[in-house]
Amino acid sequence: MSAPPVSLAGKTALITGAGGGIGRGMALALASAGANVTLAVRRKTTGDETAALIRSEGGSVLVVEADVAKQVDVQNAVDRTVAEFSGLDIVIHNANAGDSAHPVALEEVTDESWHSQARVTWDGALWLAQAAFAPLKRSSAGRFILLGSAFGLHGAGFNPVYAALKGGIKGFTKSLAREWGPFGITVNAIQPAAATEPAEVFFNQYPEVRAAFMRNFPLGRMGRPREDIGGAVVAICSDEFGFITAQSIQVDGGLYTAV
Amino acid sequence: MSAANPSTQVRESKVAFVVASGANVGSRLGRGLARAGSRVAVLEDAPAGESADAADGAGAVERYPTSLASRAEVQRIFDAAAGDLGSPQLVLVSALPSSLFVPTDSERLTANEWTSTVQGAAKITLYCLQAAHSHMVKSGGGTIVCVGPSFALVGAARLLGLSTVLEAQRALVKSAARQWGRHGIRAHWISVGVGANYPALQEVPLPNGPELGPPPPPLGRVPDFEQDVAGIAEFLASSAGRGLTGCSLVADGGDWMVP
Repeated sequence: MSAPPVSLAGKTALITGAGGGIGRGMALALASAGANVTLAVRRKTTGDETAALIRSEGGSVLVVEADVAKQVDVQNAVDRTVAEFSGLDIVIHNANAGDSAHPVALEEVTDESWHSQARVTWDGALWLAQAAFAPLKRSSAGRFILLGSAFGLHGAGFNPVYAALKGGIKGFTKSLAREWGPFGITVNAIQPAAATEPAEVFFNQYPEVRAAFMRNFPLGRMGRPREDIGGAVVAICSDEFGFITAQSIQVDGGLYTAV
Repeated sequence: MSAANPSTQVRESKVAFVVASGANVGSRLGRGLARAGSRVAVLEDAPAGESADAADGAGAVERYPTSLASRAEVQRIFDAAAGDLGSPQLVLVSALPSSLFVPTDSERLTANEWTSTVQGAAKITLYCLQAAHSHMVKSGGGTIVCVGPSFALVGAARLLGLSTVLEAQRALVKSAARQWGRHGIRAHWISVGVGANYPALQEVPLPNGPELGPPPPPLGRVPDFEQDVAGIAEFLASSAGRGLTGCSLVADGGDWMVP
């Protein structure tokens, strides 16, 4: 006898950066589990593409144009979600700055390069937490999920700003989980390793790195955004995952095992 | 063949820079290093008079007031200290603005507090790493050690900004270790038990440790900056520590034994 599939019917999720890659994969997975989904995207065209995929499978979706670095945009995305779906239960901060995959020497990092990534990764996380706190408190099972990175755990030889900001997300996750625990809201981070467009760009630039990297996966491959990363997120959003909070969870096929 | 006594290897005269903000952290670290024979420059943004005891009992400590407000200012003060004492073999960074230690509900954090204080603190670490690199890469290497309170490993409610900065700092240090190891530059992070080390946190209900019962920790006391942390940094910078880089060390008397 097989277990019934996880159902998120009646729940509403908001995802930032859901115009492609892991964000799109998570949005599709959540929608197919029955959740209403809001896609908070910087470029509406990419959000519309994801929304079309969701609707083609019978899902319920709202697209809101939002620059997550702007507090007013994030508040608007949350407000419109609550108005459209009468609540908010799941929030996922997935948006990433475009230059996070570019190699940079630590001694050459400028204020500008720091800010271009921090405004999305850190500012977006705080604005989202502040805007979503009230509706998540009203939910019977609030979930706040942040996208971390294994680079935040082990540092990065290629982009130290990305590693630092993702490391910071780990601290953010643990402290917010302690703060929000009394309200029944869980806060977790996932560290995915997925075959996304930026990953492909990077590996096409450094094919020798791809070959060496793949040997490190016990499962022999990178994750699929919808099935592997989205599937794990659906599990985290389920009632069965309600006692797990403040964790940085590797969703990476066994890539990083040092913790 | 020479088999030097490890205890004598640790005691090596060196030039050490301590970068600090907040009352007397730099003074205590500076005194500890000076007692061990180092010539010490304390680069500190504490208000005038707050660190007047920096040289107490340790004639080899020079104080350099600074704002730490920009990369240029941090580089300038490093250059000034190096001009007087020589290039540093050890740089110890404990530069956390006092405003970060004020417990605040995350939903009440203002945009200014977040972007200026939290991101500002992270960038001070970045600037210090970059300034240290500029001298060490020319002088054949050295050791950089960042220091912060140990609760960052486990998070604390209402200290979202400080937790975020500290975990970012830890990842940044690991990236420095990865990028600069080839230049003979080693980088570490030491988390220090709160106790009397961080008076601003004494009234904050921090998580105590995984064991049942109240403090003290297994060693019976919390290590302090002058007697203990300076010595750990001195060891890391010595030839005895040459096989280590990118380490996260927990100087809390045994409260948190990280996996």
